[in-house]
Amino acid sequence: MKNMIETHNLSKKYLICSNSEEGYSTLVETMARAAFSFFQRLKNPLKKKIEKNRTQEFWALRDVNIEIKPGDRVGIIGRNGAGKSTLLKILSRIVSPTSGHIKIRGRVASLLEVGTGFHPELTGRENIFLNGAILGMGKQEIIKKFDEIVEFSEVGKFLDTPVKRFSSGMITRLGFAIAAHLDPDLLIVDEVLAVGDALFQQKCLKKINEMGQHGRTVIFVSHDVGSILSICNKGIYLSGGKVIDQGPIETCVNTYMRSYSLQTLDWEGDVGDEHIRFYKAGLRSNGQQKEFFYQGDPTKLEIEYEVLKQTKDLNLGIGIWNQRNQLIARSYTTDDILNHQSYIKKGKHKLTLNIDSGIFHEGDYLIKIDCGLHNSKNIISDSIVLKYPIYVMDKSTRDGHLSDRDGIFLGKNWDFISSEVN
Amino acid sequence: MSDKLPIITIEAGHTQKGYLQNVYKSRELLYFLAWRDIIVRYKQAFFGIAWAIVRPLLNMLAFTLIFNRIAHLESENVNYALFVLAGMLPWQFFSGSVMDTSNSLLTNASLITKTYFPRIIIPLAQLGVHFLDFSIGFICLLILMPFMGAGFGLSLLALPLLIVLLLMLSSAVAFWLSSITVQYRDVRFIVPFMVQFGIFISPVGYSSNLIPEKWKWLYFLNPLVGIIDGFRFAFFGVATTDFVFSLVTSIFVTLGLFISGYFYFLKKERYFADRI
Repeated sequence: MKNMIETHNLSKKYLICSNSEEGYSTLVETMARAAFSFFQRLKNPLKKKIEKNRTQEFWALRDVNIEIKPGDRVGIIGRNGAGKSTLLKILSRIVSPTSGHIKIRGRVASLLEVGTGFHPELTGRENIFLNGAILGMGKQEIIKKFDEIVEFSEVGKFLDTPVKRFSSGMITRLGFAIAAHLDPDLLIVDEVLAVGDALFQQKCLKKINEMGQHGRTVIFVSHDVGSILSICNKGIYLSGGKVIDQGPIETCVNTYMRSYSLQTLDWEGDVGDEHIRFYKAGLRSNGQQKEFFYQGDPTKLEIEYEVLKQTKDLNLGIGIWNQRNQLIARSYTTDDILNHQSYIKKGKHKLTLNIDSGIFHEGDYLIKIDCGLHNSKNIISDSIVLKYPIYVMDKSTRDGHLSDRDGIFLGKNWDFISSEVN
Repeated sequence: MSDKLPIITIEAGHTQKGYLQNVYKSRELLYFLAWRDIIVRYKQAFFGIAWAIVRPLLNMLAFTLIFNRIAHLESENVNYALFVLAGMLPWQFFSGSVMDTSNSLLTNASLITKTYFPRIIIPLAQLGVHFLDFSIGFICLLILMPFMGAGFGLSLLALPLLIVLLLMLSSAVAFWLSSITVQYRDVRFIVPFMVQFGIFISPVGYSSNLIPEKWKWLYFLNPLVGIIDGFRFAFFGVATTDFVFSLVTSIFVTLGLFISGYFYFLKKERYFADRI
């Protein structure tokens, strides 16, 4: 077997109890039910058990076939309830599948929660040993890595303080530090990076990347498409317990984003008034079909419209809005004062606007097309909305170095003025 | 290098192959879990680990007072305090470990839902904690014996076997109860009652010679009878009238419980994370 993980028709079924809210069953209930069905059968031996309709089946995973090759950093994406956690739990052997089988090669370490099994009464030092053992390290291994762990966690001063007096940030750091020093062939990580301050998150991402560099296989689950894009090279997109897409991370993210977001990159329709009608609008990036843009990707906005009644007050343009619904950038045809009049001549037009996506931070933006008569009428303002998600490419992160994600991206147009090479 | 990596196959509906091997590999975790519970128990206690010695001793003192001074029960010509101590030792271990192990999977629920290791380690580690208490009490008893007029005989050689039997019985009950508790929380309420009742149907404060002949077969079905009588035999060299019968019954009952408990636990283990 060359793959690190292979699953064949992996399925997991849960039974949902419809009558009792919690799904706990007590001895009395079970016995009462058993007695009940026994008497039912006495009365009517031919009738099938009535039990059946009390519970509902729920397939958390259905016929999942995945392959993970050595050295892959696989991001699992999907909405809440798509089966991501169930899949991780089955791969970590915590939960057993209802049908199908899995082959896993090598030592697996799974990090579904930071600091699993930390005991509040024990000191930091004691918890390092305990947690290390829980994650599968031997005593000798922990002793060998102890100093590294302490240094990484930045809690050196408090080693002999009970963990119950730690701040939650300290617990997280300590927990991750221990897990980071595991030496698995396969690391399974579930959204643990959502905690800790930005600096520590970067440290964690860097560590995970380093593991990838050393030929380790990493499986990573997160809702944050940004961190998935910067860590993973392969993706698995789950929805409703099924694998929808599997392959390079960018295509998976594409499929994922296309399915969940209300807005699209393209709009088609017919809105406007007696002065102007809009038919089409869309965002393009170098001709590639992508559902998102990397920071710095040249973006072309195209608009098709028809001016029915010429008036010199007509003005159209766009506004870019962030997730908090704040307008952060705009451009109007009036800004192009020399050509403005030709844009609003009677007739059909196709306009394009080049947007430098480097000036945006990572995030989901909306582009709204805005049109009106100067100082008198708003023709459209919310009818045409395009999504404009931007992620940081961070090629450098994927190669093992961590670069700062903040700030405006100025591009990569470096050039020599002169150069002497010996 | 990657060609040498071990391959694990997980198949739906099957217990993984090499379970015992896995348990052996995780022995350090077993040690750490037991160590955690021992340390935690005596954290923030002024006398600290000294309680581990004082606790069993206080228990024995209380027992001796109650049964000897108040109940005046017969003790087969052995110093009554020693007689009770020898019975108390296995009983304390059994009752204490049953109380704790039956709950052990629930108290470690976070481990079960977040990490993988052979789950059987959890009740076993809990057993280890109580075995420490047992060992301390055991040593105390050995030290006390010469002072209270009991000599050491060859029968002491039977002790290792009896301790193994006791360990097997306790783990058997632990396997059964802990795995049932995951699904039926009722066990948590039944166990304390069982333990309180158990002391009366086991020869802890009295000799099993007191049991009427016609009820003996029923009485001996309690595997603790053979074990406790065995401990008294080992320490003092005195055997009850039907000692061999009670011991053999006990061995069979224990083996039956142990094997069935082990497989029941394995069968249920797969669903622990889903049900807990």
